[in-house]
Amino acid sequence: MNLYNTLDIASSGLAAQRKRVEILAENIANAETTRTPEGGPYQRRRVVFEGRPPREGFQIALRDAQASGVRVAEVVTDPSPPERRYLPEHPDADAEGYVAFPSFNPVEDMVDLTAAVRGYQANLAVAGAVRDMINRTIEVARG
Amino acid sequence: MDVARFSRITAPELIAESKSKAASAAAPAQDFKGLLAEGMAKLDALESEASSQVQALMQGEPVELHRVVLAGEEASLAFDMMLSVRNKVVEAYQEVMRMQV
Amino acid sequence: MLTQGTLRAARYLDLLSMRQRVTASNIANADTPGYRTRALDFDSALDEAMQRPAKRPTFEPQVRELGGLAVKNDGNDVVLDRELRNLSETAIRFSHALLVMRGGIRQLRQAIQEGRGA
Repeated sequence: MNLYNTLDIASSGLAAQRKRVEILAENIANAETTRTPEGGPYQRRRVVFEGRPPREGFQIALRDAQASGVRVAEVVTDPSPPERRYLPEHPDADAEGYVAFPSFNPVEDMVDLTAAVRGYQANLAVAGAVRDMINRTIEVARG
Repeated sequence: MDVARFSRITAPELIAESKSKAASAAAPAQDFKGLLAEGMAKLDALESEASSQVQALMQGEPVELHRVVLAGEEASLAFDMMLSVRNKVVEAYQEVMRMQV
Repeated sequence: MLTQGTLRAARYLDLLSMRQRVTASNIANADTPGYRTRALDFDSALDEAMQRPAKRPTFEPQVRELGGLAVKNDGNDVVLDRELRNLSETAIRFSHALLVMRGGIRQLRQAIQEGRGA
């Protein structure tokens, strides 16, 4: 293993956190979406992270299997029931005049978004530090 | 100055010493050639080690960058060393040739 | 050919590179459920490296779970601030060790070149 593999780990973190931000943005954008191709209101989604060994398919020593990157294992749909609002005028209203809206928790999503941005920045800091280490090492060869 | 020390050196000892000096001076002619060959072999080993490390790095094998740099520097130092030795030898040779016997 | 000091610096760089990889892993997995902060057994590996600076490493330090940190609801105990601090510290130590290695090489080169054509 070397510094380039460490850079791989950082970029896996960047990719995972970016995916998380995308999904969160989708949730926020669809907070009021009552109609989807699948039918019914939009359902909130969230990412599930899992550790991954660095450089899959590569021969790696045992100790290195313990230092790993991350990936989005799956994107799961929030099972919580839709929020029913009484809006008889709404085209999607049911017989009783209720409209099913996505269950939306703005506080939770904003907290999650803040954490995702922070995580992204931390991985960016790793990439920067490692890039600096690589450059300094190459400078030694220049005398 | 301790004059007594000199008086202790007897003639046979001096002769023996100068004889052994002459012998050791004759031997290096052989040794130097061996030394040079050994040095060249070591240099060759270092060069091939350095280039195999560079190749490993290029192929994405997990070699540490600073190790590759160090191997390269070591090979280049060995090369400089050989060059210095060679220059010294040539210099010494020319010096000898200029000597008026 | 290389001095002991230079070889020591190189071994120290090996360890710092490994340590940075562990920190990168902790940061990447800061939100991975069940992930526990990992740490390199740095001190014992360092002792070993300083005693026997070899051209090739003979002993591989172990990575273990650190423990002792507050575990969140999802079973993760990574503290980003702690990892970011380690990140900078390791990077700084790395650049210092590089200077030592570079100094050792330069010194040797000067010693060799001093004798050239003099």
